[in-house]
Amino acid sequence: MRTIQLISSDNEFFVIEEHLATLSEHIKACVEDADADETVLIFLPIHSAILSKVVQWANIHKDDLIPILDIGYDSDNDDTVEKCTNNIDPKDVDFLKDQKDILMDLGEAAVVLKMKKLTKVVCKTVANIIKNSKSVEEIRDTLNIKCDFTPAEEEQVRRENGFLGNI
Amino acid sequence: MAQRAEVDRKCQYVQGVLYASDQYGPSTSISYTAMNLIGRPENYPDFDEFVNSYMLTTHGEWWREVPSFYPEFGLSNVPASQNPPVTDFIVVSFEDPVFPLSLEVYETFNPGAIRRVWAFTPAGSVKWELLWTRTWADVCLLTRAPVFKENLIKIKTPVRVIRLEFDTTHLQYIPGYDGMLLCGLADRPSECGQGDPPALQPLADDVSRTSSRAGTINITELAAEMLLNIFSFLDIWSLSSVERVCQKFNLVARDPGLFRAVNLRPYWMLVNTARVQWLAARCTGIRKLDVSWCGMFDANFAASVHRLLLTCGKAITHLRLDDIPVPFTGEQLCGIADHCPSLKEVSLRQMQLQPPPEQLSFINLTRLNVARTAIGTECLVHLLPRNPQLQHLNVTCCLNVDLQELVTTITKHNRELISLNLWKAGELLPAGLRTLQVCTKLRELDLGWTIPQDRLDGALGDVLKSCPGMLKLGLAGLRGLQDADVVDIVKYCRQLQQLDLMGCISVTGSSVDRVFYTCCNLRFVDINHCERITNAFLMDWDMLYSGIFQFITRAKMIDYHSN
Repeated sequence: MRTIQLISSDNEFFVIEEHLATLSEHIKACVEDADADETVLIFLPIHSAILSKVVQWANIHKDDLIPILDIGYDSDNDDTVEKCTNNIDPKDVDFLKDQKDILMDLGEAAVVLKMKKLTKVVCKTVANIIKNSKSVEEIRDTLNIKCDFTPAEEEQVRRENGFLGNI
Repeated sequence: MAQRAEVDRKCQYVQGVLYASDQYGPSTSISYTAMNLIGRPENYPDFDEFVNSYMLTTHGEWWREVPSFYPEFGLSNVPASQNPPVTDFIVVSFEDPVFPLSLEVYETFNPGAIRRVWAFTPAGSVKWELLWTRTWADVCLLTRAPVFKENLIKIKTPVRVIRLEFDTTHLQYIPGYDGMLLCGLADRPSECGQGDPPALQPLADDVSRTSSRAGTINITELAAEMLLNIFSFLDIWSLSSVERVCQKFNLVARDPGLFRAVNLRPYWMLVNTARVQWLAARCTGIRKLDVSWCGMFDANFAASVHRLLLTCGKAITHLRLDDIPVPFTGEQLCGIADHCPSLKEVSLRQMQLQPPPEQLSFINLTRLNVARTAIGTECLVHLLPRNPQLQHLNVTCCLNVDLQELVTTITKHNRELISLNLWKAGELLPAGLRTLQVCTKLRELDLGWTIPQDRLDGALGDVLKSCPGMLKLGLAGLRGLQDADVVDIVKYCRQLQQLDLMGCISVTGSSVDRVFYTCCNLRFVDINHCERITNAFLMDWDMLYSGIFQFITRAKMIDYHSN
């Protein structure tokens, strides 16, 4: 029996079941290279606090009927696919509700692990946060972004901005 | 004080109609068109399809179920609060500007369609201000009320231009309006001036207010690809705010990939020349653009849309410029056609062309809608042969088109047509109709009001015989349509889903009865004003078919309004 161990950047070990490996293209590739009875060690540049959440998320989805790996990105070049953000899996809405603080870390981890569905869910969730903000200031405040425009630049951006500009 | 306010109160009927996105007939006609809103109501409190009232052409969602329907694009990211269901609009003016207090609309047929009321405030910083909006709960309450009377949101500037938005999708049949009374104060009321104008803003989600300070990665540290991925889920409104957040957002949010399918229609109240220019600087890779309804009172609007398409139109495949309330020149439209060689679908419904172009160089289109435009025969006769793949053509109410000549061209060059809409676009001879039998792929044909002759001489049957896939047939107002023609429908159109026989005064119940019996896929039939159909048939059908498909009869309409 093959065991898979993920090792976080702060040297914590996470033993995962083999079928969870299918959720991440990165892990899947590592496992495929290994022998059948080998213990696979995978070192990841992800902190244990984040990695534990990723494993938790994967466990939520382990019984999904559609293999999560097969759901790709909406291609940026594909005009026929329209994107929407009101179709997030309720399980994910529930899970991410409590993870606002580490949303970006989860997104980064998802990219590292090549977890397409988690990446997409994080992107949609962040998009919804932006959509629900009433003003530019509120976006900055909610996402903890510093305004790095010089006053002149800010004036320029405000002036050329079409939609919210003078309303 | 109270007395003085009473003296200043001013109530006015409509003085002029500035624009109507829809009306039952061409704008040159008086019957049933928007002009009838002017002045005091003449029919209220009676209800009926008054010839001197304003009637729309749509109701229900039947228009979504026909082959010619094509859904709007670029809306999936627009929050529902910013895109309520609105099918049509009308803009009217009143003589004197007032601070609006209330609005009465005399709904003399199928009430309940009014969805939002806007005021144009040229003096304010916000050009269009929302005066009233309907919630779904209201719809149930108001559906049968004969007069729409609502108190309006108080605004800071006096208005004399009002825009009404309609949603006809929940109506049983077309709505009719007899007039409008706007009451307001000539002087600024004292309670005004407090609070902000009603802004069109998304509702705040309380979750979004929690700050994200505990995580180690800030959103600005994410890779540009990841940011782009996030931004790809934003509507154009949010994209424009994102641009102003910080340097990195500003850079990423300008990616042309985010502006491939842009629909500005839900934002008509905000879109002007400056905003089109803003878009033009970003949408260099645009594929689909919809600026319908936008640009009213903006003299440079048409020029800015023209310029955008000249610079960014190379790869554009879908273009919708429906019901734009400002004129384009024929030259501008020609330029658009020349510079957008990839176009497949073009919709120019009610584009005001001053003057109409003599030639247009669109090629290889699959869809063309020039309904209610002044485009002429010559232009279409030149255009159609260059578009042999055309599947959908709509020339509703095109009064400069000689239908006879148009049909001759179509039969030579456009045999791929799936839908053809000729509703009220002039006159066609039965012999001309017969030639359409070479368009064997037709699944939707509207001939409403086009054949004034007493007889069709079997021409309809000849067409139907060669078009076995017919799903929708519009035969409204064909006085010459006889029972024999209806029997041809029975013979050849077994798949038929929608049938409009409104005002076919020669048709009797026995032939229609055979249609009902034979066409098992029927979903909607209009037999309003079919005077020779007897009550015995109507009662029979009520029992036999009322749960199976919907049919509109005069008796039903009267019943509905008297209950």
